[in-house]
Amino acid sequence: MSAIIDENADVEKLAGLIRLAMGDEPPVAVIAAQTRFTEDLGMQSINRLMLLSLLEQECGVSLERHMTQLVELQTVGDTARFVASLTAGH
Amino acid sequence: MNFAALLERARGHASNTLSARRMDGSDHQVSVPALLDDVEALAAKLTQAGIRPGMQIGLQAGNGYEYLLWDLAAIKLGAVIHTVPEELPPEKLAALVQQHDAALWVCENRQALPGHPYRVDLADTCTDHPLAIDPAAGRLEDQDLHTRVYSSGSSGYLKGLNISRRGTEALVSDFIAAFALDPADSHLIFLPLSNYQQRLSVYGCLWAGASIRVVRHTSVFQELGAFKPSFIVAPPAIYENIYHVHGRGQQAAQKLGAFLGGNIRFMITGMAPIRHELLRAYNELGFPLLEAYGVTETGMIAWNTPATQRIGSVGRPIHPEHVHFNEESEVVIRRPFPLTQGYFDSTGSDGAQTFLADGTIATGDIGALDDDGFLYLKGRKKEIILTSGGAKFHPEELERKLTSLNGVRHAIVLQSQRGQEVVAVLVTDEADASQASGIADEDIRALNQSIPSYMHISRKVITSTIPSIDNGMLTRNLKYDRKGVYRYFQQQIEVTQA
Repeated sequence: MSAIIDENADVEKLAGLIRLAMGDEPPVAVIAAQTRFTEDLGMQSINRLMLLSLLEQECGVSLERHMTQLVELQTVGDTARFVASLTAGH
Repeated sequence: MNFAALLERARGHASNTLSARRMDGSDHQVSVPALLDDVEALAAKLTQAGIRPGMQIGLQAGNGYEYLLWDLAAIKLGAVIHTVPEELPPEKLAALVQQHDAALWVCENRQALPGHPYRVDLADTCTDHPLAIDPAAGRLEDQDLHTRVYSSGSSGYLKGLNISRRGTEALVSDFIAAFALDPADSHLIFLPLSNYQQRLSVYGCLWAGASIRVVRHTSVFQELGAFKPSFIVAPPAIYENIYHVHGRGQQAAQKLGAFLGGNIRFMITGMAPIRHELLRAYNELGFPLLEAYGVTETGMIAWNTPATQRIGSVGRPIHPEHVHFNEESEVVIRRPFPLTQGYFDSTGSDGAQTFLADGTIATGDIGALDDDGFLYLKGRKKEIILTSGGAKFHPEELERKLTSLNGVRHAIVLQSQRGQEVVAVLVTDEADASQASGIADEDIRALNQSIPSYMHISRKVITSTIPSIDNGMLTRNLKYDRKGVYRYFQQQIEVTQA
């Protein structure tokens, strides 16, 4: 249960950063774990890179070595889980 | 700058550094003399293996320390680096290698060129692994040929460019002088080194003594704050994104300054049109963002500089006497040492349309000078819309007006093939899509009343699909791919109106 709550919190945090990284309101009303960056949010690769730099600041963990894997992830939930695993191992 | 003295002069800038990631994964920072020691070691290894001046060294790699070693070692030896875009897939690389007489091919991708007898793994650049070179490889006798590079052509195929040594020297010298580069400068390079512009920057920094950091584009945003460059070169999309996130709201100047590292002296943009509002916003916040203009075929043509800038223009021509306009107002360049000698691996018509018989180079861009000598670009010649009545206009003129409409994020103006009608593809937020249609109707009626009748928009296509490289609506340079946009919406564009 607590893992689910944590994941929801991570997704919510990520949703806030996505809004910031996109500069405009995203084209969907709700950003959830299954929301896809490209197909649903229309994020450009540059928006994705900005998102990851914001995420790095927010989580206090270096993502530089994982950028290749991170930019391949399709959904908000996958990204939240990946970063959570890095933070846990930090 | 001249190549004959470049490495020796760079060695004199002992306190400046170069940093980049090495193939072993380490983030490597060295003094310029230490870099040059590695260059000498590689050059000695190449000489021992049989590399001679004029031989080609194929190179396919992403940004990193070893890339620079190969480039500089080739300068030392007078060899010709034949660099291939990093993203070219192995099967296309294999086909390309067949056509070229390189002495060896250096590849980062371990899957590239399997079993090729003269393949060198980039990871072996600094190891004792012996180099095998093709003893039958020819030597290019042209003393002015510095390197061979590729740029993507308009229909997605690669165009090979023979880069001139003297053209490079002239351009780099102009850049150092116009931007007053000196040893206090530091430059972050994140665009691919396989795009020749970045190598020009490396040569300029080495000559002027500026420190260099080379990274891959994925870490650009983290590296700005970490490396604290004094100048960067980036396409408009990067500056758009940084501004949206860090350049608005309270204390925008402080936030932006912190994000950019706090040491920015100037920033250059080009490669695609940039919003004038964005240029103004950066400059008002105290960060000189300067639009520049050039094409690889001839090199940089005009630039705004820290000393002379006019927003909306691409600056004054670097050498006004080189810049001419033909009867279609196309910018054509006649200069003693263009950056490129000509194409290789390109269709005949491409070369003849660009490198004209009279020695001028046609840019394909329509432009004009103002009374003070600043150059303004109006669009691409090939994108001109020719109406059924014989009138001509640039889609960008209309697109600028359309993107200023409320809720319109992108506007691409095209012409239908069937009825020769002007069609506007408008990208709006999905949330607004149901209303956008009505709003856009009113706005377009008003817009049509304010423009000549031959420009009237006959039809609109409303979409929430944002143009991207993946969906084929943006080029790799992040410009609208109008053919791609047309293909994507062909059905709606060609629909017969009831």
